Amino acid sequence: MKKTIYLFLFLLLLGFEGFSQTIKGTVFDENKEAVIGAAVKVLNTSTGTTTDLNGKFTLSNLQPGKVSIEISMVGFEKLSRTITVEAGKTVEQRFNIKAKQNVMDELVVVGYGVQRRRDISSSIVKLEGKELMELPTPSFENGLQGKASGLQVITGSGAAGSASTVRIRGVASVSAGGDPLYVIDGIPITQDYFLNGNNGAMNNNPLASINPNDIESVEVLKDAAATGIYGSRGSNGVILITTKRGKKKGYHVDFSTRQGITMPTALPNMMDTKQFLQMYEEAWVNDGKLGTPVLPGNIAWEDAQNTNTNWVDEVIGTGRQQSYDLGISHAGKKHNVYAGFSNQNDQSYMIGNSYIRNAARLNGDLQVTDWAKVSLSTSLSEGVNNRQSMAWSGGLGAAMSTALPIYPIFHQQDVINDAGDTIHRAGDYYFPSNDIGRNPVAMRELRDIQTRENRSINNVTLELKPLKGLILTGSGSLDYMFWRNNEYQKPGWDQNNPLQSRAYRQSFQVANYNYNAVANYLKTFKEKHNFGFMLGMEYQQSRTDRFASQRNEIDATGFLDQTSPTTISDENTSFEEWNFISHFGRVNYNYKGKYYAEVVGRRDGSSRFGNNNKFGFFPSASAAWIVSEESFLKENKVVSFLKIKSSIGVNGNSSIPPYAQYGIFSSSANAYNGQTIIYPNAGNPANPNLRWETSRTFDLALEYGLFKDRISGEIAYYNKQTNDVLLYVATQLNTGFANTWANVGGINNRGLEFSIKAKVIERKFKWAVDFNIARNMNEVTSLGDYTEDAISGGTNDTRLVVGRPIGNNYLVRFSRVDAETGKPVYLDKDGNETFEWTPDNRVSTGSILPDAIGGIRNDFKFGRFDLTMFWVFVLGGDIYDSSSKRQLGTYDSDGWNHRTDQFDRWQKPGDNAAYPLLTTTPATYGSGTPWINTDLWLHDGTYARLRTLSIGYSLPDELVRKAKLGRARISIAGNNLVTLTKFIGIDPEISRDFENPTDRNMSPNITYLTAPQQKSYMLTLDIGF
Amino acid sequence: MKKLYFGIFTFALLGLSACSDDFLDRKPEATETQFLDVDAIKTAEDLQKLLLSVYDVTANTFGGQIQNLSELLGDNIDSPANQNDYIQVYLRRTDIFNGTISGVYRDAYIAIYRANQLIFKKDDVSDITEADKLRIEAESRFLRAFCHHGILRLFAQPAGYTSDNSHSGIVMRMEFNNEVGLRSTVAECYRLILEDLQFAEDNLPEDNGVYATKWAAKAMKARVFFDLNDFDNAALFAEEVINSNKFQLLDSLNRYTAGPNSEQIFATISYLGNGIADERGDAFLNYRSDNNTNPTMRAASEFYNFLVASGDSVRAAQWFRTIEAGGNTTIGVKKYDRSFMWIPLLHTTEMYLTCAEALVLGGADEQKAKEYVNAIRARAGLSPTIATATSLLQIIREERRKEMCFEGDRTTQIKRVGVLENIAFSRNAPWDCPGMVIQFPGAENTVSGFELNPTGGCD
Repeated sequence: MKKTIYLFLFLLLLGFEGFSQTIKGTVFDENKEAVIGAAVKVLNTSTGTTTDLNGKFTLSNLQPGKVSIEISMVGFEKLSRTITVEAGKTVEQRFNIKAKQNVMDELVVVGYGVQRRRDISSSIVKLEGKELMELPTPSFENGLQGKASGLQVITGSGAAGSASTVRIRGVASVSAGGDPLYVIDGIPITQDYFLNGNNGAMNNNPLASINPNDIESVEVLKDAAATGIYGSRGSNGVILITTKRGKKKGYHVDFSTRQGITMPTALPNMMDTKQFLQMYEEAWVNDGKLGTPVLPGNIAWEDAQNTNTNWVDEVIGTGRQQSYDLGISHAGKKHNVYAGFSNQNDQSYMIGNSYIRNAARLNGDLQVTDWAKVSLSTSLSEGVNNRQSMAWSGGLGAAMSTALPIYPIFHQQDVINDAGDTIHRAGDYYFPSNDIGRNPVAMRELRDIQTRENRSINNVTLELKPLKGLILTGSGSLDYMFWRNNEYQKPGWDQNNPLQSRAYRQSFQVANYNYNAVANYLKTFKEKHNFGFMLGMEYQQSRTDRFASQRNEIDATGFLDQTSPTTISDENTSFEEWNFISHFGRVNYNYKGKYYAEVVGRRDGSSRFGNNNKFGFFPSASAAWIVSEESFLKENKVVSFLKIKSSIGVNGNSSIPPYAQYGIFSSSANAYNGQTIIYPNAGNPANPNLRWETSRTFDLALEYGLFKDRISGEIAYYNKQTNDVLLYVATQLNTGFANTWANVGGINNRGLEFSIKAKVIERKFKWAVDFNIARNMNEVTSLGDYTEDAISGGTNDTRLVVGRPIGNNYLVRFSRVDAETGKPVYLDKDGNETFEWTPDNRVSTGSILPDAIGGIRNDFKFGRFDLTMFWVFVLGGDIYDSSSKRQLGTYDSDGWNHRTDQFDRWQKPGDNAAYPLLTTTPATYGSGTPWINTDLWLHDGTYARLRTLSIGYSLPDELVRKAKLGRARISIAGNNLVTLTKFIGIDPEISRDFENPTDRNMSPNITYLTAPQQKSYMLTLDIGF
Repeated sequence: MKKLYFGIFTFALLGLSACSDDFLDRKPEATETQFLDVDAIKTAEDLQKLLLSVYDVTANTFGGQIQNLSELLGDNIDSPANQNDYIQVYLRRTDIFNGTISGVYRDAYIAIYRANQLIFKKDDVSDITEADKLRIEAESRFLRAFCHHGILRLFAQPAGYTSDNSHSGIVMRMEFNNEVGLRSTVAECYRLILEDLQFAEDNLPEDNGVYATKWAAKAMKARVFFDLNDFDNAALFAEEVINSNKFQLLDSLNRYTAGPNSEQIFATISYLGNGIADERGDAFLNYRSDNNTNPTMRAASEFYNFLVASGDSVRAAQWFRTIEAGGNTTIGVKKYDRSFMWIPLLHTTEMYLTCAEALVLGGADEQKAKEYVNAIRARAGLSPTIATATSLLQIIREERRKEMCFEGDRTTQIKRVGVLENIAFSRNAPWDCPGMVIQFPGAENTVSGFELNPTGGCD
């Protein structure tokens, strides 16, 4: 009994002592932000708690001595710590937990759902939104370049608001799209690059109005198994965009601003007056012409000598960029909200060219009951593009071509005609050859062009979980775009009618509705057979309305607007409509998280095809084996993760105009002899037999993680065979039609991709490397009965040739400059030399596709400093410098300025020169046309470019706290600072303006007076509180 | 359980939005100006409107476009200014990329396609009279022949280049379909053209407003037979037209009037009225030098000097002007210095000159031939010729060169004479060198089996 009492007293004592032992702690994440709701557990006991809103916790009633506690939180690595607590004491400690670095467990958005990366058997690359923000371009897709293997992004040009070309694993389509499908929060968005054709040598960019700062993550779906769920529209890959939502408890505000300057990466080397006249005279003399040379624009020789306009200087300056982004988020137990606001003003280096975007977004989720959730996403944006003509249409393009240094900007004195009337006063703009296009300054000052795009993307989703494992989702969305192109020509623009001013407007309105309903069911049997079932349907409808209006009058003072006093009305000139219905299902299975299999089927119906071919069925299957889960590898010291995955599948494509199957008749009043006529449109004859373009893809990949995933990456091979390619073929004109849509031939894409991420140094000084490289091989496998000339890339000499890649340069080969005569020597089809240039001798030349593309990124971190160096590169592949056929060609009366490269020309017998003797007539060059396409203009396009170099500094916590901020970072970045290349043109990173989708796919390596990319210096401030 | 029902119900509601069979039918909106082809031709009026569209596009082709291409191969013209497509033709190095050529070619075949559609569809319409049906077919076939012939003259070596005309001609589209077109022999081309013209002659009315008549068909036959160096038939049909007294030589040298005139056997019209200004003949405006110091098309100074040297002062004064610019002198053309011209595609002057030459060559009535050529000379203020035989022939040919200059006739005559005499030159190039034939547009070569013309200059 005594013993019992002693024991009781002892325990009591212990207990009393216990009451006085306490651990107080605060849990922080790597960003020094308090972690709310983290679980804190005393190991080997049932004692535990969670952190409060300030990340604080208190554990009382502890035993004195060593106490082991563990802190865990979803998405973070567990942290264990043993603390010695002296009797009766309270210990206060800070706990810093790290976000989980195991990328295999991150969640990846897949079509109509989310999966753990580990569980995915298809090929998907995930990119974080902030990576896209590194490049200060208005459009998010530019930020993707070099970041995912097999994803190629070619930024349009240095013009603000220009469109990029995005290709996933090469291009499998020719006339029907070619760009990946973009899906924002589940909505396949409107993505037409040719709403405004090629107006002013510029294609509109449908992605420019999307605010990059709203983007949480981007998933790039590459293989058929991943894209299969998008069936008919996934054949060129899918890019899924997820926007930000409120995640962290409490209120959070993030603000960032960027200020910077921009300039061209390189400048053209145009001749000045002295050089131009000297060369012109030499050409004149070479042709045996006598007397004073007749100059373009009817300019007298002496006047020419007294003028020297540097047009390039006149059209470019230093650009400015500013952006302000504000994000406010809030999350509670049952709801979360994100609101984002953004203003970006990008004034390019081209004077008068800018893109200004204002955007707002509101995303929210509300857990109505424990089994029902409502989500809402809505965005509103306005993109205003103040435009300048470019390339062949004027501006910098004119400065590189038709604007000669011998032309003055202004009339130097009054011009009086034979009748004694003053037709020009000194100071009036000078229009060479009556053509304002040859005076880019006048063109800029006498005209305003502005494109204004208002866009709203909205989505409502209802998610129900009526049973364990069953999730029903119903979603409705609207992507609405209102797009206007305004043009105002000031008095003086029309030289024949100098008092007249004109205002025009073209408008489009695109309303794209999308509904889907999806059921997901997850079930595990016997703790090892994990099943996922998905069944869904989707309906999409899109309608485009076109409007046009114009006003000609002498008192117009600006753009047309609705409140304009004149009676103009936007006339709805036409509309187009298409729709789409799909049913789809997916079953995935895994055994013990080791063996995975997935089957996907989708049946699509499209209004674009005739009655017999409306529906297509697109199945895919994939399997994966996580080898590292097997016992023989489980404890391996080197290999921490190894997955082999493979997939096969069929995708489709229907991206043709909505009414291609129909033949159309038109009627014109007052057409001939004042009478009405009707006639079949020569555009395209009816073809009710059009059907789906289909791609069969095989994919094999290996994902690896070494040394506890310090090194990780992927190696992939793919092979995609596309058949029944939808082509807008040129038909024999003798049929009475110019073109027709047809399913013709086949295209094969195959390639290899390799990526590696390594944490090279993981100490106080951190160094991480991310490298990826990919090679795509593309080949036209069949063209049916058509010849090379059936499909051409716009005005470019690119063709489809069996056995060669899409967009093959089809050119006469240039052999050499004849040392005796100075004439160019070409090769005929058989390789024999000839002085005659004829299209009969065109052959496949050059290498269109690069040997490899990729990116390498180095991130360094030391204390509060971070440094990022990101290079993108393209190895091999030729660029066709199409404008040099004139800039380095004949000195014709049409008058283009020339480049100084042409100094290396033949002058006397025996000369060994790069370029032939100068001439004013194409006959000297063995041709009837002064624009002679040969492989002389084909150059190696290899380049490496320092895309981003940035140095950042995170302000010390103390300072931040004093300023009542959560975090603050300041950084300086330079973009495109260094370019290493042998390309003799201006910029090896090119994507010219295109006429239509066929041209876009066929002419990836053509430059034609294309403006160089911009180089920029940016100062960025990021704060959060 | 309630929430399960609710969930399934909501899901089903969302899922059931798809329904009927024609759900995926989205047709273009039928408007006043655009409709589906299957709905286009229902009545005789529709046929007539489609027929008018054939005239419309024929007027586009022959508004100087096709004539200029022909003229550019000849020796009446100076090197064109600032028009690279034209320069290529002038250099006689045409290739498959020439957009101007392709436009002309395309338009001619659009006219032919529509003519074929008319011939094919005429029986589908119930409210049409037999007479109208015949007339519509006859007009269609006349226009089809006219367009085929215009193309044949440019894109193939002339009749007589081979003794049996087995050399390649052009694609003859005689059916309403989109099938691949390959070139027929020149013999076959002429056979089909004459067959169409025969049908037209038999079935066209004597009078048909501003549209094709029996006389147009006859005049066209005169032209075609003359191309074939079939002198008897050429003279026969030309004289029939002349003697019909429906058409007279104008007193004025200007037959390109802004309205009807007595020389027009078949003309395309520019329409001015009801607030409409429909200018045709626009490619002839490339010559216009009254409002342009730098016209694209100018006369060759050799031709002008020849004309002046022959004492042709009236035409020299009325049709030519010298242009001084940048210290250079060039010869501008005044023949087309006006707006809203009607283009006389077949005119009395041509019939006179064709008849005159055919009569001499056929060894027929030389006196009659002299009367015809002297009527043309008299109008130009030249004294009547008394030459005979070869000299007379020479006079008639020179008269034709001068009188029909810039109308697209010269090159055909060089070639025709080349066939006859095996010696004829255009700017030092032999009549039958490859560059004297225009290359087909690249689009023709989009299917295998099409034979392009040999490329290459005449240098």
